[in-house]
Amino acid sequence: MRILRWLSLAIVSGLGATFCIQSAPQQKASTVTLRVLDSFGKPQSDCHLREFVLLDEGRGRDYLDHFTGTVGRDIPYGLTYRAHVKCADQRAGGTFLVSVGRSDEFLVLASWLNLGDYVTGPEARLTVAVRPTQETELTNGAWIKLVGAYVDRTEVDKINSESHTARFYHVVPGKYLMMLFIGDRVICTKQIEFVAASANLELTISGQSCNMASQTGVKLADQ
Amino acid sequence: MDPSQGGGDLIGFGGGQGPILFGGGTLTGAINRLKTFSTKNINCIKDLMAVGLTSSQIQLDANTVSMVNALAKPGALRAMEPNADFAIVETEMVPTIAYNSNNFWQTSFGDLLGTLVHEYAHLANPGSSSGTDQGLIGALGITGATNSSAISQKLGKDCFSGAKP
Repeated sequence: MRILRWLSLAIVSGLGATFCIQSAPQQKASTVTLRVLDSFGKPQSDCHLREFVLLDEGRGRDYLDHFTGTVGRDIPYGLTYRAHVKCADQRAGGTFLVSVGRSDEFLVLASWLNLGDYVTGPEARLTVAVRPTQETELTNGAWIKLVGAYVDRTEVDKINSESHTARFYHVVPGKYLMMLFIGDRVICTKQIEFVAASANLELTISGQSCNMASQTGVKLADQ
Repeated sequence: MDPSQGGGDLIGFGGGQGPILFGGGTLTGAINRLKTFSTKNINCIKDLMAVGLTSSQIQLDANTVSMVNALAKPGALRAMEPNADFAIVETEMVPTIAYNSNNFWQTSFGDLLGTLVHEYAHLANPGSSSGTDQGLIGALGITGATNSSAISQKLGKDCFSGAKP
């Protein structure tokens, strides 16, 4: 009888513990690792995190004291933060909007090394001219997408059917992946380094591939 | 990033060689100064003529241009380069300048005033090559500039040398 009483108590305690575990709030904390680069992928040295401020609920709370060097622990996830990084090179670092959405978050904070603003006027910073070997190759809807390899930036433009050019107005100097689409096919992907506005690039399409024919202010990075 | 370092200090780098950390209200003080701006300095007058500005236009801009603190507005912060100090916000209906005080590089109040005039010069030349950084650098006769900060520094030196908050 005593054994049964102990057994009942153990079962009830076990169930209670189970319910307690189930009803306890889930831990929503993340380990955040930062990597500070320039827009061409060069690691930046002697950089310091100055703030890691929550912008959503609990707005304004700074989690800077959760960081040791590049790694922050117990950072609530599912939220947006403002990360401010200062480097010995004044042109590097900056203020970044970042989202922490997983328990182990890796963030690349990259910026073009520049002091001040970057005003290049109404003209496109980069113009890509596409020269098809057959005129019909561009009639099915063609477009180009630039994706920053390090900077958190993408830009898309269709290839004008008359001028055969795509224009990009917001890219800043750095390394990008350039993808050329015709219809639903990726015709080619190139790594480019956009050096300075106003840049021009000419691509020739041949079948399922393309080649860079000429360029100013931009160079092919994977050759 | 140096793994041995945590947050770092609040003052600039290099034993005072870095940017001044402007206190709250310094930018407001700079804008207020420009609301009544006038000059008889010949170098300043030449600079302003070169970039398409007048004293009265600077006064008007200081009184009317909307200033947005990007650190308080994620939308504005997203629209700026991460390391930009000031930027014209082209999507706004009224002339608007966003600023990020985290990225102020200015080492003097004169630099800050020069930077504001630099931004007004962009606003004074919308949609033209003369309003680009390269256009302003050329108009001011600056040589060897590697950043647009050279524009602000020249305007600060010629128009606001020795200015105090």
